[in-house]
Amino acid sequence: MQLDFHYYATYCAAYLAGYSSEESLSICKSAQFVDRCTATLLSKLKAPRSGATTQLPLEMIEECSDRLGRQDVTRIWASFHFLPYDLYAVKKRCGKKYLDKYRLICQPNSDLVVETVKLAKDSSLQAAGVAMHVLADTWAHRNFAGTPSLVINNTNYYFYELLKDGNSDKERKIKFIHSATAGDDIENGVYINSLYQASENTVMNLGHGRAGHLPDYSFLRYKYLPAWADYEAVIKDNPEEYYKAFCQMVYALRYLRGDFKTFEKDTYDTQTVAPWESLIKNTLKKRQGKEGACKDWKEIGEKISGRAIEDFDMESCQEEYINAKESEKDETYLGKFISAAIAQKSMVTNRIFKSGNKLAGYPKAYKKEGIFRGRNKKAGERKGGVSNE
Amino acid sequence: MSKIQRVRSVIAGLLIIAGSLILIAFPERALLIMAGILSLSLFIYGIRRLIYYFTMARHMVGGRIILYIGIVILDFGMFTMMMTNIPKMYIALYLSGVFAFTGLIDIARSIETMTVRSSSWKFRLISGVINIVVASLCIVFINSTEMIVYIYCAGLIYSAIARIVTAFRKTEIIYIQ
Repeated sequence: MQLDFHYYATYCAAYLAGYSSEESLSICKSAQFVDRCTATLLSKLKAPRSGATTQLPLEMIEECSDRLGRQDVTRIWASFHFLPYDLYAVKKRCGKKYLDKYRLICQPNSDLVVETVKLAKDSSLQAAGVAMHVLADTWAHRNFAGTPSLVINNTNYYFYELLKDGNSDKERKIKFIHSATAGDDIENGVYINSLYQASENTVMNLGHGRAGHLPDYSFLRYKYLPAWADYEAVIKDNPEEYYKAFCQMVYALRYLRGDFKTFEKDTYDTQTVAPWESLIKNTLKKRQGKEGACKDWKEIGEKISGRAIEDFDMESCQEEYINAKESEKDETYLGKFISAAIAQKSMVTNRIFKSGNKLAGYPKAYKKEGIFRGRNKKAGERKGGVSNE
Repeated sequence: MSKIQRVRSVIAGLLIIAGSLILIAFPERALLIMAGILSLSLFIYGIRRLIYYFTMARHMVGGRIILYIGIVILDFGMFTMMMTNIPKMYIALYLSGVFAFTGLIDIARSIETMTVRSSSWKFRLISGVINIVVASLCIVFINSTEMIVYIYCAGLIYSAIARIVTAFRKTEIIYIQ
C-alpha cells in the first residue's frame, strides 16, 4: 500500500469513525510517515534511531550483510509492514531454521494485529496512525515475510493477472522486468520486480520485492505460486481485500475512540461504510497508478468530510521537533510518533523472541528502557523509551 | 553491495593478483596448485548448497534447482581433486574447460539480465567473452605448460581486477516497499 491508502483512505476511515477532520489528518499523516521514517532521517533530526519504521535501500544493503543487521531489518519490516500471522505455526518435516522464517509470514487477522490495535488504545493519535498502517499492510502484504528469505519470499514465472471477461476471469501472463528507471506498465501487464538472487539472506529477497508492486495496486487481481505454499496457487483479490482493510480500519478506529469495548479479529464495520460503498469499491477497482488513486481517494475524503485535505507534508513537524527543547521533544508530533513506533517495535520483537525465534534479535531490558541491543544503541542516549509490559 | 562486502571484494581481488604472480614465478607447480585451490573451493561451495537445500530450499517451490547445483558443483570439486596424478595436459584441458564454462554462464546471465532490462549486463558480457578467449588460448597452447600458466594467470588477474572494479561501482537496487 502506498500514499493513496495510507494517507487519503486512512483519513476517510478516521473521519467515518468519528474523528474530526484535524484529528483524522493527524492520524493519516502518522500512518503515511511510517513509510518515510528512516534511521537516516532520525539521525538528521537527532532523534532516537530505534524509532525508525522503514529503511532506505542503502541502509538495507548495509544491514543485510551480517546477522545483527538482518535482525534490525526484521525488527523494522516485521513490526510495521509484514506483521507475522502465527509465531507458532507448524509445517510437517521442517527444521527450526526454516520454521523461524515460515512463522514470520504476514496474514491479516492475526493475534498480533489485535495487540497492535490495543497498544494504540488510550494513546496518541500518532499511535492510532501507526496501528492503521500496520493493519492495512497485513492485507496488502499477506503471504510475504518481513525478513530477507529466498525460501519464503521468492516467486517464479507462474504469475497471471485475472481480468474480468463477462462472468468469468481471463488470465493474462504478467511480465516482470528489472529496471531502476522504467516504471510499471499497467496496461500491458509489465511490472518492475527485484532480481532473482540465489542467496537466502539478500535484501532482494525481503518482503514482496520479487512480486514487485503488485500487492500495492488496489485494482489488481492475480494468481501466483508463493515459494512456501507447496505448489498451491494463491489468488490475490486486491479490490476485495482493500475494501475489507478499509472497513477493518473504521472498526479499529471506532474501538480506539471508545465505541466498542473490545477489538475482535475478522470484524468489519461495513455498516458505517455502507453509504460510501459503491464509490469506494469503484475507486478500488479502477485501473490506475498511484497518482490517480491518490486523486480519487482525496476526492472521496473531501466529499465525506466537506473539508479540503492538505497534501502529505512532514516538514513542519520536523521543524517543530528540531526546535523543541530536549524536555519537550516527546510532546511534539514527531516525538509522539517515535514513542508509538518504539512501542510497536518493542511489542512485536518481544513476541517474536518469546516464541523462540531469534530472527528479530534479543530484546534488552525493554521494561525499563524500551530499546534494543546492537545497532539501536543510540536510542538509549535520550530518555523517552517506551515500555509495553 | 555493502561496505564490508566491498572491502572483502577488494581484499579477495588483491589476494588473487598476488597468487597469480606467485604462480607465474613457479610455473612448473602452478597447474597442480590451481587445481587444488579450485577443487577445494568447489567442494566447499557444493557442500554448502546441499546443506541449504536439505535445511531450507527443499520446502521452496522450485527449490530442487539448489539440489542440482549443489550436486553438480560438488561433483566438479571431487573430480578436480582426483586430477593430481594425471598428465598436466589433461589438467590444463580441464582448467580451460572451467574457464569456458564460466564464460558461457556469464554470457547467459548477461543475456538474461538484458531481457529484464537491467543496465548491468555489459560488464558481465565482457567478462564472459574474455573467459572464453582465455579458454581458447589455453587450448591453442596446450603443449606448452608455461604458456598455459601465463594465460591462465592473466585470466585470473583480469577476474581480480574486475572484482575490484565491481567493488567500487554503484549498486543498482530496485526498491520495493
